Parts: sequence; C-alpha cells; structure tokens
Amino acid sequence: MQLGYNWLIYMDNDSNSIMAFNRHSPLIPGIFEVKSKSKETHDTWSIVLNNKEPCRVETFNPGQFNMLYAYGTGEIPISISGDCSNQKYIVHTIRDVGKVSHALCNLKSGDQVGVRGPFGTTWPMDQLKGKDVVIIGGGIGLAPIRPVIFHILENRDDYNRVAIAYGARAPEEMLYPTQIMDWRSHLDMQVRVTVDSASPKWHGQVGVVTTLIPRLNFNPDNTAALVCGPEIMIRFAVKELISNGINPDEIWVSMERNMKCGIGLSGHCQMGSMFVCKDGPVFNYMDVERYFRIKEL
Amino acid sequence: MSNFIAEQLSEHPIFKGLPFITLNDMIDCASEKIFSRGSTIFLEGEDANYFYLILSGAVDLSLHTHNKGPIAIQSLHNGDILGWSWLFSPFVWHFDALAREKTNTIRIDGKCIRKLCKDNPELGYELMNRFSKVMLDRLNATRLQLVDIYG
Ligand SMILES: Cc1cc2nc3c(=O)[nH]c(=O)nc-3n(C[C@H](O)[C@H](O)[C@H](O)COP(=O)(O)OP(=O)(O)OC[C@H]3O[C@@H](n4cnc5c(N)ncnc54)[C@H](O)[C@@H]3O)c2cc1C
Ligand code: FES
Repeated sequence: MQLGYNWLIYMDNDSNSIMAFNRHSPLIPGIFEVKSKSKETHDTWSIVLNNKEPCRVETFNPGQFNMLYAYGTGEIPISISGDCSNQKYIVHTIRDVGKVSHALCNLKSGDQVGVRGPFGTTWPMDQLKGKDVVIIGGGIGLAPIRPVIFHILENRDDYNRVAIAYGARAPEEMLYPTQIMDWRSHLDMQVRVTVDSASPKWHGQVGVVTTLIPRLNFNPDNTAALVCGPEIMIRFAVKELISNGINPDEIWVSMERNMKCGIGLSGHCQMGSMFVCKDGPVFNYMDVERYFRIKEL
Repeated sequence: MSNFIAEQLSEHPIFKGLPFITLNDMIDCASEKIFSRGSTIFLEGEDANYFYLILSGAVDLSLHTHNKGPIAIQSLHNGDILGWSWLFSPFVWHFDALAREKTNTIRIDGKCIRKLCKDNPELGYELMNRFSKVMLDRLNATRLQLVDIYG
C-alpha cells in the first residue's frame, strides 16, 4: 500500500493485522552503519555507529539508551557509552550474554544495524554542578556512566572534587583499561579500581567495589553520587554511600528491566507505577528505593 | 615507651576510647615494623603471633592454588587491621600476606594482648566487640565477592 515516503507499512503475520507507521515514529528504527568496532574484553565489544539517515539524528545525552536492532534476530536496549559532545557518531558497548547481544557483538564494519532512540532520562549533569561527584560503576555498568566522565572532563570547572570507583571480576574483565589510565593521570580526579581476585601480575586493589567508597575523598554534605551496575551492586554501593554520609536524595542510579517498545507503551519494563524506559533508566534513588526491597519485581 | 606508638594506638578506632592505663599496658605489646615492597608479612600455616595496624602502604591477602598459583583475594590499606588469627585457637594464619608497597605498621603481640584480656575480662569483652565489627565488615565484603555482583 502506498502512503507516501514518510509512511511504512508493517504486516503482522500472526494476527494478520496491518500497521502503518510514520517513518519518523520512535517505533521505526533508523538505519545506521557500523563504522568501527573494538574488543573491550573476551565477551564485550564497542561499536561506533554512523547515521545513514541524517534526518533521524537527535541529540543524545549521558544516561540515555538506544534500542539496537540486529536484523533478523531482535532488538535490545543498550546505553550510549561514548562522548555525547560528539553527536556525529554513537558509541555502544555491548556484552555478549544472549541471542541479540551476540548478533550485535558479531557485526562487522560496514554492517547495518537498526537504531531507535535515544530514549530515557539522563544523568543529572546540571544538578551536579558545584558539588563533589562520586561515580560508582561495576562490570558492564561503566559503559552507561562513561559519558558522564567525558562530560565532566570537558566541563571540569563546573564540578568540585570528582571520584570514580570501578569494580570488575578480574583485571582482564575491566572495561576501557587504557582510558582508565588516562583518567588516572588527571591530577584533579580520584580514580580507584578493584577486582574480585587477581594473580600476582595485578598490582592494584583486590576486593569488592563497596570497599573503595570509604577511601574516596569527598565532602558528604556537598556530594552527589551516580551508581551504575547490576542491581545487587547498586544496592550495596548505595548502602555504603549512605553510611559514609551521602544524602540518599543526592544519589542517582541506572536501572535495567527487559524492554520492548522503549517509549512507555508496552508495559514491559514496568516497575511499580513507573516505566524504566520512560521514567528511567536514570532515577533518583529515593524514587526507586522501595523496589530494591521487593523481591522478584 | 614510644610516643609515636602511643599516639597511633590511642587514635586507631580499634583502641580509641580505651582507658589510659589499659592503653599504656598495650603499648608494651606493640612495636613499629616496616615491610619493604614485595616482602612477606606472614604465610598460611605459620603461627599467628601478631596482628598489625597498617599506617601506610598496601597489603594483599592471598591464597596459593595448585593450578593458578597465588590469587590475591583482598587488599588492605592505611587504617586497616591485618590479622585476627592470633585471637582464636589454633593461632595459625589462614592466608598469605604480602606487602604490595612499602608498608609501615604497628605490630602488636597477640599473646601479650591475650594475657592482658585474661587479666582484665572487661577489656577482653570490649576488644572482642571491636574486632567482631571489623570481622563482620570483612565477612560482608567477602560475601559480595562470592555473589559475583558484577554478573
Ligand atoms: C536501559 C538499559 C540499558 C542497557 N545498557 C546496556 C549496555 O550498555 N551494554 C550491555 O551489554 N547491556 C546493556 N543492557 C542489557 C541488555 O539490554 C541485555 O543484556 C540484553 O537485553 C540481553 O538480550 P539478549 O537477547 O542478548 O539475551 P537474552 O537471550 O535475552 O538473555 C541471555 C541471558 O542474559 C541475561 N540477561 C538478559 N538481560 C539482562 C540484563 N539486562 N542484565 C544482565 N543479564 C541479562 C538473561 O537472564 C539470560 O541469562 C541494558 C539494558 C537496559 C534495560
Ligand atoms: S519498554 Fe515498553 S513500556 Fe517500557
């Protein structure tokens, strides 16, 4: 059926229903090309995407995610992990854990990928101005929070003391090791890294990421903290931040739920009265605190 | 009696607030000990006669495994206490402790402290309480490591 250039027709084989979507609808993926790809760890890759349809470029900000569509396989939410001041390319860091992430990790330069987004809330960069900022990341959780670090480095005078604590299972599972070394060389930034266990080749800290928090240098009365990682890590990191004097309403966390539409329609990512895709993924801790206490939500 | 040791003991959270007279007795159990980078502080299976207040530097606790060699499982830093096997029979170390950097410590004779505690059960109770808190914090951290929280 011809509805004009801006309309696409989708036919659902199961229900025999026909749907018409505007090409600019957030439900229609834009076509992007993999410009380059780099291996981060044995199961994690970063891909740089180049927009093939300039009209679909929208500004993206630290904390937001895209729905990435691996053709013929499926679509999953993946956070933007690159520098948001460079809006020409989008960088994503993906851990191969299942069907779709595996397909995305296997893309090659020049391959095409469908992208919907950017979706979701952002890290509160404006509210952090003038404060000490503590950034806690664990495992793949450094990826969604990395744009914050880029932003701070580019706008260093807006922020007070900055401390980054990152935990990974083992030295070889750490994301962005070269970049971490670079951040470390900034004299006005504390960067601490820890791993769960290590061979003698590792000369750094061993222990869980929460043990780094009391060693960070910040003024709890004027500190905001950002936490990103698996939910169990967030729970214990937040507990430690609070016991080190940080006000719970000065803590922001990035939450994950299975997603489908990414725009608050399907209800897939519902968390109580909120949708993680639309009201999150970045939440003030006080807004989600009760969900950390509920099992199986 | 060293003023330096007296100052360090009275300021450390594990001893802070103990009566002056008790601290005075403890000072006789303590000495300064510096470990050069890479040196062994103790080895698994050796007699656990001492514990250490770390003043600066870093210490790795590690376990020797047959297939992977030594595996570091925890790092300790300034302010941390190293060792509690001196508290419990059979008084042997369960891990190796290696100085990752040059490490300054106050070394405290466990036998000497155990004797003070025996003579003064109130002190014994108080110290047990304080050490239990340190052990609980470490146990919780170890549990998190076991859970694989970055999964
Ligand atoms: C807002 C948001 C941002 C995200 N950002 C990133 C990112 O930047 N990089 C990245 O690698 N992943 C990210 N994820 C997680 C990613 O979406 C999932 O790993 C992905 O959906 C898994 O799909 P799959 O088809 O590959 O695996 P599936 O076949 O669906 O699942 C395979 C295995 O992975 C487990 N799994 C599924 N989803 C998750 C999850 N969210 N976390 C941990 N384990 C999971 C399943 O339990 C199963 O055991 C994000 C998720 C959300 C909601
Ligand atoms: S993914 Fe559809 S409502 Fe959030």
